Amino acid sequence: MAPSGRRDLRVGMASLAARAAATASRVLKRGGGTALPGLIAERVAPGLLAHLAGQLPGGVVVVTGTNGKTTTSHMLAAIFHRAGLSPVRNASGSNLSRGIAAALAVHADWTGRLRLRPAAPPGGGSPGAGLSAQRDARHGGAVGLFETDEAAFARVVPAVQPGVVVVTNLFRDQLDRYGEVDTVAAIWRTALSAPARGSTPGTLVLNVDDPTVASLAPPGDEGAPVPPVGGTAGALLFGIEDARWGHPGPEHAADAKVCPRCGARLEYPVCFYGHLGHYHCPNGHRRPAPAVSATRLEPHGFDGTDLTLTTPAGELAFRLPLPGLYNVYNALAAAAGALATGVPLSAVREGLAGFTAAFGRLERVQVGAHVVYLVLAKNPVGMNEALRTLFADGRPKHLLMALNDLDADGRDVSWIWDADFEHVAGQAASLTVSGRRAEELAMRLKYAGVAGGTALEIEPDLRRALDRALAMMPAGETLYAVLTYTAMLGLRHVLAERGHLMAYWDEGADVSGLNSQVSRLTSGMERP
Amino acid sequence: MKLVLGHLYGDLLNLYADRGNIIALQQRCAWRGVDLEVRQIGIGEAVRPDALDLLFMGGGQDGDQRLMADDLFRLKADALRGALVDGLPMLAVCGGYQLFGEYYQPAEGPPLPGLGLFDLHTVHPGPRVRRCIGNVVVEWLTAGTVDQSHVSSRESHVSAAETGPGARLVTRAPAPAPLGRGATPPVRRTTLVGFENHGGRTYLGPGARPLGRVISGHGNNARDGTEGAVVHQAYGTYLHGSLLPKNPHLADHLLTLALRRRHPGATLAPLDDTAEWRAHEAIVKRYGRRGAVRRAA
Ligand SMILES: [Zn+2]
Repeated sequence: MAPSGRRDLRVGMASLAARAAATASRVLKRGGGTALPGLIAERVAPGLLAHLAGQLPGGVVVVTGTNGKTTTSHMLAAIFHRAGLSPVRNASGSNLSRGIAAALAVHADWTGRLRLRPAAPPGGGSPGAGLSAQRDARHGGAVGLFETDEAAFARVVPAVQPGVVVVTNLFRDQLDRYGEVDTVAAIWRTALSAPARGSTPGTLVLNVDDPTVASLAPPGDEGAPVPPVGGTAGALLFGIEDARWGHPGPEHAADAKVCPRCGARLEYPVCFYGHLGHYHCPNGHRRPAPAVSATRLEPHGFDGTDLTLTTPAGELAFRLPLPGLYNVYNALAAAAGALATGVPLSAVREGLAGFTAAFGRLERVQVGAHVVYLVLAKNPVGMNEALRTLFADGRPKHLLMALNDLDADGRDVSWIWDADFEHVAGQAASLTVSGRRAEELAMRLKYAGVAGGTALEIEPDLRRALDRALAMMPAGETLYAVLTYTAMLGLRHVLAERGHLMAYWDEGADVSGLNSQVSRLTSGMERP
Repeated sequence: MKLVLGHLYGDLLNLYADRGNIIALQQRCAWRGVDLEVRQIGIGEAVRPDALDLLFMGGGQDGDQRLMADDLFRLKADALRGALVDGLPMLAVCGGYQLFGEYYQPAEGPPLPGLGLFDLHTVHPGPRVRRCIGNVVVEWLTAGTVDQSHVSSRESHVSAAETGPGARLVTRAPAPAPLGRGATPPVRRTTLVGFENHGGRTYLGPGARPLGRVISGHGNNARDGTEGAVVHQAYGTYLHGSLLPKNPHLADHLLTLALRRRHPGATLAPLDDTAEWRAHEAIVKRYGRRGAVRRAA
């Protein structure tokens, strides 16, 4: 899949048209400017996708599945950055072939050649050894990273000729749109078995705990070690081995599965959730052993999960700063996907362990003459940790603290009495309290002895609270915003609205969910 | 002036920030120049009611509560029963509230005996029935009697049999100056606010009066509209959140009861409770809609 360098004026014109459309639709605020330009580009030059994707020196990774593909793509992007690569991505919410065409077209010049800026300096990660992308400075180590839903998969795969295909899972919840599970699986199989145009059939990265997904593996190749990119086609299977967190299952009859090989009812001695787990059928067909597996995991609630991953490239242990078993699966998918592209283990570790850095942990935002730090604190341990970190240097700080009581925060705000706000006493240069339970937090701070000597402002509305907090500060000073989960989403939304922060769709995060959530939140911030 | 608060199993029971109740009592004393000493009463330690002015017990997870059940009956039950009749002010929240009752009937297996301080029992309806979770606003039923209550001596307490519905907390007491007059205005608010999270349903017998009537939320059993219980000077409730900081009238009521056992006629100095009432009112406003009362047939 070497860059062709071939000039194709038609592709170039299509790309220009796409870029114009992207600008126009962004101005018109139509879905973040993704699908429309892709449509235009595809109309002008039908072969655009294949033409442009073929120029990506690092090849293409495609991520698909019902749940977790966006988070998995996000994690993969983080890992690629650590490895010194520049992922070219389709923005979330437009995970169709058009969105992918759009993502590529905006990088193409009028001659139809991809013009990619050099890779940003790796954030502490060691460069990805063995990747041809690294040697191609002109393209800045660009690697295509495209997520696609089940329906678009059949069109995308033949067009972009991915070196790696990651399949997270196949649940029933989208079947109204796409038909039976088996139909989807059959479409996948057809797309994957189509003869490769180039000389580089890809690696399938599959969730072995999902029987349908595992059945996509070429026969006899189950549990095979990582084949090098550009080598023979193969499967790299991932799954959770630590059976302590499963239960005999599945819990609900609706999740029951039949053996993809013989049709007999599958039994689940260990079920993690849904139909994901360790299964076998009465005729001896069993879940294959994963090559990339979570051999040990220790959940720490919202703080994340301590993970030990066993991979063909070695073992790695780290705290995944995201909660839940579903994020363990996402991390496994990303780790396996990254290893299949030849990224070193150190980059996998750094990308995953630092994953929430972009959301919630001391995120820095320039707001006019001020700097605002966003700190997530949603339980006593997190709050104490945040306060300890903030006041470690012994200097007074300007604080904006917000407490919400929506489902994602926990409706019970009792926990604030278990957090040691007493540490803040005498440490706040100014203090603004906000959120749906602002009054309660203000009272907690009063009992912690914080209010004495510090002017404490109560403003439940986050927008006005931010304005007030900034108004109290001399120019150039820093505001520390300590926020519960939905208050964090709300404040980010306010900052994005004012152009201080990129909105989620620009970053390719979980857009469809978040944007509607945030707009609900912002309205929820107003008093009834 | 000094008061001693006994905290039962404070190291084991701190499920829903019971610490907030202790902080509230401590600070409200400190702001008035009263020294409140918090004495932990853990496993292996006896309860000495004569040395206490106030007793608090919080909630724990089932396992924690079983851990201390044996110790409770062996070392503490008798003293607590005596203290109740003696008029020691007590507050029991959540799991502590259930344990103060006659028994707890789990979803499976035989009933677990309680301390029998309160004429009530609790039944767990099984894992298929939803827990009672959410913000609660109740009308404090005994609030009206509280302000006129003037408990000052040990002879002044009615027996459990005399505390039927409508009975006054104290009927035979001498009449010292009304509590809080000129200090905290007499019961400006009659609502109590908090958060509940319990699987068990609690039913009161004739010997216990409800602490309040549910305006929104579930209360004792999601059925009869009652919340909590009052027997003598002892209060039980499902409300945490924490309870006492955002219900300063209840906090001060308990402190006044404690104070007057040693210093008859004593009153509490007024405090600026703007922050407390603001938090209280915000909850009443947001969650206190009457339509939200949950009662089955
Ligand atoms: Zn089979």
